[in-house]
Amino acid sequence: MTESARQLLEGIARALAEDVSPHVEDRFAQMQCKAAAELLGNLAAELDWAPEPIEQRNRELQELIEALRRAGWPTDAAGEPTDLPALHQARLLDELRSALRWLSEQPPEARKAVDAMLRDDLERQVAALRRGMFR
Amino acid sequence: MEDQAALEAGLRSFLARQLGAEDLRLSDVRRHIEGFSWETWDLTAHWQQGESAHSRRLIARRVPQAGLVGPYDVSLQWELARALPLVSSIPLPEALWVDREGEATGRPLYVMEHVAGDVPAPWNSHTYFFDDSARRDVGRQLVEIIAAIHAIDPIELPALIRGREDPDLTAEVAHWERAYERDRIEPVPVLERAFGWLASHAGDVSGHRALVHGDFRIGNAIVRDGRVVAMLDWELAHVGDPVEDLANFAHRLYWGKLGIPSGLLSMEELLDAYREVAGWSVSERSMTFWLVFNDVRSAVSFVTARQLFARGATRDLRYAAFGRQIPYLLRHIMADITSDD
Repeated sequence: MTESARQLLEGIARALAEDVSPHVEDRFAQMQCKAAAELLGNLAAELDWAPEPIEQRNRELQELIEALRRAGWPTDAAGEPTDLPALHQARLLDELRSALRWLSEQPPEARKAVDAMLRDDLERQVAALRRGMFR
Repeated sequence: MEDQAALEAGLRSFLARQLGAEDLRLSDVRRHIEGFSWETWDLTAHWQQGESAHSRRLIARRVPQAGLVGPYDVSLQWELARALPLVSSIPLPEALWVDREGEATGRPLYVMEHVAGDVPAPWNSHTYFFDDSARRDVGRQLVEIIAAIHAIDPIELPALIRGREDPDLTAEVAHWERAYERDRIEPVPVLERAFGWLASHAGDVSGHRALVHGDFRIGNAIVRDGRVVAMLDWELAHVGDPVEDLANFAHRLYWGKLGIPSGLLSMEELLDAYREVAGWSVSERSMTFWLVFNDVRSAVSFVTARQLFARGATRDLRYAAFGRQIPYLLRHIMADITSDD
């Protein structure tokens, strides 16, 4: 699990336990808050042992970088995957950062394939969202 | 969580000093929970003056513990609120008192009068207004207010306001790009692409330079009896391209059930009304540039929300939820920046 996802789950657990639960007057609802907080805290630890989502994301990012290379992005950085998928993801994202800035200066035919992949990527992310406040 | 009793005591002492009424007491002290920027406290002060009893409903705006669109400069807000009535007829709540150092409650704040009325939301504009004509009329009033804001000579504004000395009309883009660099936990590929697009389309800005409200939309207006009686939330005000305000009015998050900008006017009605009132036409390219910018800015504030929650600066779970909503905005951005390819 990435550090930010861990921070997110731990933060939600803390908020439920320390800020929400004490202000809930119904005893049953208060217990539910505390139980949810405990579950989220444990989930954060368990997800550390489930690298598949990061590796899947890394494959998607790698495909984007390959498309950028085909569009003319002049680099061979990012390299081979490391033993630490989260670290590799950080490297892939850093390379994408430079490459996508470069892409904006390129003619439409060079941008087309990468933009289509970015749109597909977003659709996957939107499809994975359980509920949207800001459609 | 903060001790509300202590905060109320601080506010009471502050207001008692301002009004010269040591016996002052407060009632109905309530924090508005809708916003994610300045803390807004609604309260009523009661005091005795000679034989007569007085009550006054007030709004205190306080620097937040973890706001989304900093920096939070109480002096700038105060000076802007005091300057605008002198140079325009924009409807505004009267700014009354300021605590620049945060002596009263631990954080700086200013106090303004409470303005009675409703704050209509774009998602209920189809039921809020009596009929289409009343809805369009409020839309038209808002366009007249935008044009009045844009007609103010920037030289009349407080020296502290962002962009006052900067002729670059894309300076606001750079400002939000810095916020993104500061707050991102990891790069967001579509935002990288979007900042690249904004840089390569810098020539699409309008060429006009004006005071920009920065968050101009129906949700920041108070309406009473069919009239816009106050424009609120000036924390994003700066000097820049006025088209930014029109694009914010037309922000896709605020189209509501009617599927039109701010739930009030169609895009064509909005641009026609602005041309009529302001005396110049907004090009499609300028509008697209600032529509993309406003989506980017919103996405950056979601990035900031995620970061504030992740580092423990706030425990408001809504901040964490915001961070998960970015893909919807990114989808609008990708649609716009690839529309001319």
